Amino acid sequence: MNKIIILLIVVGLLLGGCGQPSSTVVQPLEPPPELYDKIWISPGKVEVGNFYPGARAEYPVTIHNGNDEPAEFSVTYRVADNTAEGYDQAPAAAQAWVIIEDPAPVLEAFETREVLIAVVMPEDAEAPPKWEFWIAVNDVTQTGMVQTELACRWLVAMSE
Amino acid sequence: MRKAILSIALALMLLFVFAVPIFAATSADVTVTATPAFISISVLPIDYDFGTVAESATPETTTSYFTITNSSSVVTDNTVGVTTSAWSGGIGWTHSDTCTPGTDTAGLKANKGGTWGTGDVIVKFNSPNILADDQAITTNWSFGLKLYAPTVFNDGVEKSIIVRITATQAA
Repeated sequence: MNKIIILLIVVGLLLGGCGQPSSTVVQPLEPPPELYDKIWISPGKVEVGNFYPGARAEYPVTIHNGNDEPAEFSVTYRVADNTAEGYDQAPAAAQAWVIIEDPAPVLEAFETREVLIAVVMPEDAEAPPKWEFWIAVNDVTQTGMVQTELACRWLVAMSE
Repeated sequence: MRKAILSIALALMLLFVFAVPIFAATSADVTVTATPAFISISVLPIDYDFGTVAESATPETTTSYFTITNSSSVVTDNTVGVTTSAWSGGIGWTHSDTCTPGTDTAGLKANKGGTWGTGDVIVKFNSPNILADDQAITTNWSFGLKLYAPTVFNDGVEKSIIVRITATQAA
């Protein structure tokens, strides 16, 4: 009888554990060799689903320094220049919800590094059903009149 | 006694099975999905000197003067903007987001490899415009810049502003 009781409890705990959905889908992709001496970021797009006030979502942006010398980068929240279909601009307050683990990483020559990005929405905050912001990465050692910037789209869909 | 223990165990099991998903609905349903892709662009040359310009002049580069090397593994959208709302140097110029020159107010337009006057894009500070829409994977492209000089200058000091091309995965 004791064994039956223990078995029931274990089964119960296992079934209960199954109720916890996984939260992050990661599909790793190896960079092609020709990107070794290029500056790149990955991914290009992060989609957050079922978000709600009080929730937290996180995902790293990977930065590669294709320069043959160290370079400082800036990692910043950026208002989207344009948005995906069905998405609105992020609320003005959203900038304060985004936490960037290291906003000014210095990467060695040809180094690749992850910088964690987290979105923590306050419990009393409001947002459109679907909203978008960008995480921009700049090589701040650029000196010219024309410079380039790489950005990752964050598409956030609120739970209904 | 054993029946009582068994009943408690069953009750606990039911509690776990039915209660946890309710908790999960408020704390663990958030999903995060990332598309595997690499975004990579660079530009050459990085400078152009418009030289000495007259009031109301509109000097321009060729429309393919600047080349963007695009190594992105996905289709991208590329916007063009300036990083500040004013030109630096001496009596700074205001940058016009409507490309309407005025007294110490200048504008810029860009053209992606075409003909000036056809498909020109205003280079703005706020809400930058798309210059290269749905740019194909690993396909380079080029563009030029056209200055709309102020109608009136108040000094002869060299002015500068930074033009920025931003690449994102296509929407």
